[in-house]
Amino acid sequence: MFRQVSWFLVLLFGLALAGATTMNLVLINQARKALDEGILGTKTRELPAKHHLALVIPDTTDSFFDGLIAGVRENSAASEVAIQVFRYRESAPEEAEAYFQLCLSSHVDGVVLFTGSERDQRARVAQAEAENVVFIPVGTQAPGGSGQGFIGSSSFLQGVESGTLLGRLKGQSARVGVLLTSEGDSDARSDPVFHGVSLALRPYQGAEILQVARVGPGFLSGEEAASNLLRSQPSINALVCASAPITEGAAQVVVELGRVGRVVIIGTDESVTIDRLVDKGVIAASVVRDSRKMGAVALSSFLAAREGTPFRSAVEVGFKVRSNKAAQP
Amino acid sequence: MRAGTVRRKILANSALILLLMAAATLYTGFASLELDQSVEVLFRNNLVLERLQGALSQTEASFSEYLRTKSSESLKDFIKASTHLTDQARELNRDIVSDEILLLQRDLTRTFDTYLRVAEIGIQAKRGRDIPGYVERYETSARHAAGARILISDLKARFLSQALQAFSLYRNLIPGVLLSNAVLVLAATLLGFSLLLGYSRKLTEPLSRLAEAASAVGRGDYQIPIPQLNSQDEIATLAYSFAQMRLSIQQSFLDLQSRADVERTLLEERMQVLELNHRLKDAELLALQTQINPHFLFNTLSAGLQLAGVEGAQRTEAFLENLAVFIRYALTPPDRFVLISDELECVNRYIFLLRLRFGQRFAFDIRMDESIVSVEVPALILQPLIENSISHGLADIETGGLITIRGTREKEQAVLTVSDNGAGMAESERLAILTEAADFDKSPGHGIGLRNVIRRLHLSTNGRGRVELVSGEGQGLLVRIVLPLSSPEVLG
Repeated sequence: MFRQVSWFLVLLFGLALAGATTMNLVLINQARKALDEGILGTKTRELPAKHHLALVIPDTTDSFFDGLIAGVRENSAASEVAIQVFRYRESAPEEAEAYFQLCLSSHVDGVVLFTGSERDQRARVAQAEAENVVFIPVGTQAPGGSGQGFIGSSSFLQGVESGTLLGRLKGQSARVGVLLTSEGDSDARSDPVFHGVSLALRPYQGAEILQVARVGPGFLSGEEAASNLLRSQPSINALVCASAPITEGAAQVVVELGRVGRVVIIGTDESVTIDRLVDKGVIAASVVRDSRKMGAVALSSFLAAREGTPFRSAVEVGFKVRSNKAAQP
Repeated sequence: MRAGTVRRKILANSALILLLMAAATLYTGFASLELDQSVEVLFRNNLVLERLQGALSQTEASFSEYLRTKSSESLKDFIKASTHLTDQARELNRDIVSDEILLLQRDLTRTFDTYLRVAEIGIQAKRGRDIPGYVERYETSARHAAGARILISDLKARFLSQALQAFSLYRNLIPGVLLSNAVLVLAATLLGFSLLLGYSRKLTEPLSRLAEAASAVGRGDYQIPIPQLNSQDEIATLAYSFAQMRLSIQQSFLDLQSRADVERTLLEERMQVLELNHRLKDAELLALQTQINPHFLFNTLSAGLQLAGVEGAQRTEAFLENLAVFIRYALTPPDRFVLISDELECVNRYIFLLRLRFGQRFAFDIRMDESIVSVEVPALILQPLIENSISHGLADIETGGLITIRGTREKEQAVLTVSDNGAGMAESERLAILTEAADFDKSPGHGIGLRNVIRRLHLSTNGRGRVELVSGEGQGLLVRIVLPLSSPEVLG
């Protein structure tokens, strides 16, 4: 009996020892593997590519840029293009130039650069050509002096679309506040979005834009600006927001002020939050710039340029509208 | 048996346990060391980048120095620094792959290339005294160097982020590793303990059983089994030797016991001999005594007989004569054989004496076949039967008591009968007499003379002669003596 108990204990603790050792080995292996992930020289698991395309965009939560990156990446693997993304601070646009220069000095095969309309791109085009780098500017409004190769979604057209939607919803009673991004001319009334909205509301006698303001980057700036706008102009019954963060911030303010339904929000772009708010009716509609398509076109343009096909003209990728049933015509 | 086997076993078992513990300890130690080294490796990338940044700064400084001094020393420094930078950059990726960090490395290496190329052109311009040329190259190289620093900074940030993520995952796993280490050491300890327990039991169990057996043998119990061991070690030898020793002791005891039995038997026999001797002496004494008394009795009776003759007392003289003859006949050795005629004479003399005592109270009818009077029979077989009839069967009869004595020959047998017409005896008494007569050691009851006759007849004829009793209550008693005639005239 004693012998059996002894052998049972030997077996039990032997198994425990083997189990603990195995578990220990597995855990140590996992730990080492976890450390290996961060160690230099692990390129063997990555897919090799033929082309090196850099994407220089602002470091922002705007879903527009998520769509842009997704569009560029969409067919990159099939096209054997390795995508590298440089994000510069939205508040420090000079970093965009630094990254552009970096791309030239490191001789990447191509650069997709998000750019505002205020900067002339001819110098960059020339530098890129000198370094044999394909340069593709993307943005919402074609920059001055370099229409060729630009891929964009016109802010003016976005404004027109937003204004048209407002006209349908509010008609002559529209009292509109427009919240624009910080990019562009300091005079907000010269912004193409504002122009587009203004143009679209023109047929509705009595409809007017009561206030227009530029908003800094981020969700909180959007909240602050929308709050100020609605408090300073209580008669405003419609808001046009020029970016996704501004749209989300404005919607939050309308909800907090209890003015859902009385203040119509025409937003921009799409995100999980915006989609949810549209479905709830807080946001009447969102004019979605097709940044994904923009990215895809940028990639195909890059490949065409690498093949020797010259850019012919700017490409307008257009919009789509996401709205709830109440906002639909 | 091999010497020192148990010691070797103990050493081997202890070594096994120690090795187990040492292996567990070493393993956990090495595992911890390995993890520690892995953590160091985690930050290797940042160290590489740090060295690259240092090499870039050194190259920039030597380039500036050369442009400032145009000294061969600074040129050597530049060449050395730029070579170092190139060597360091070899650790970085140069291929186009779909990984942003690797692409950043590629950017960095190519930026270094551009920087060094521009710097070399600047040096050439300096040598050619092309002032605008080297100034422009200097500024351009400064921009490239700044770009490289941005890339290094970006890479550092990414590596650090990656390292922190990896370290976070690593840290999440560490408690598990430590726990499994603890379980491992605990399991190894318990396993060692179990092995020790099992082995010590295996080693000491035969010894304990052997000790029990030894203790039992000490108590005189030889039945406890001794462990049978198949091993070839000292314990097995000890057990075997002990078993042999116990067998020897058992055999010695058996020998002693049988010897004691023999001695006891001898002693008993000796005691019997002594008893027999003692009885023999008593018998001799008795014999001497009985030899003395008859002489005295006969002398006295002879004196009485002479006195009766002198005095003319014929009746007394006849009495004394018959008494003396009868006594002489009765005192002769009882195992002798006599003729039936002699036995009949003795009976007549006895009857004479009875008539003097009882008168005509009893009648006697005696008829003896002449063909058997010369047959030899044990002495005194008729007189006790007559005495038995008078003492028992006819004791209560005042008149008419008859005792019949017959002697006939039936084929090869002489048949003597003594019967009376007395009280007889019950069947149980009859059987008791016959049974008691067969066992002479039993105390005699009634009919001692009858049993004496039966016994003596049986002994003297070696069982060939027999006595039959025919009786019933109130029916008298017939004693029938059957004597086989081995020869026509002589029985004994």
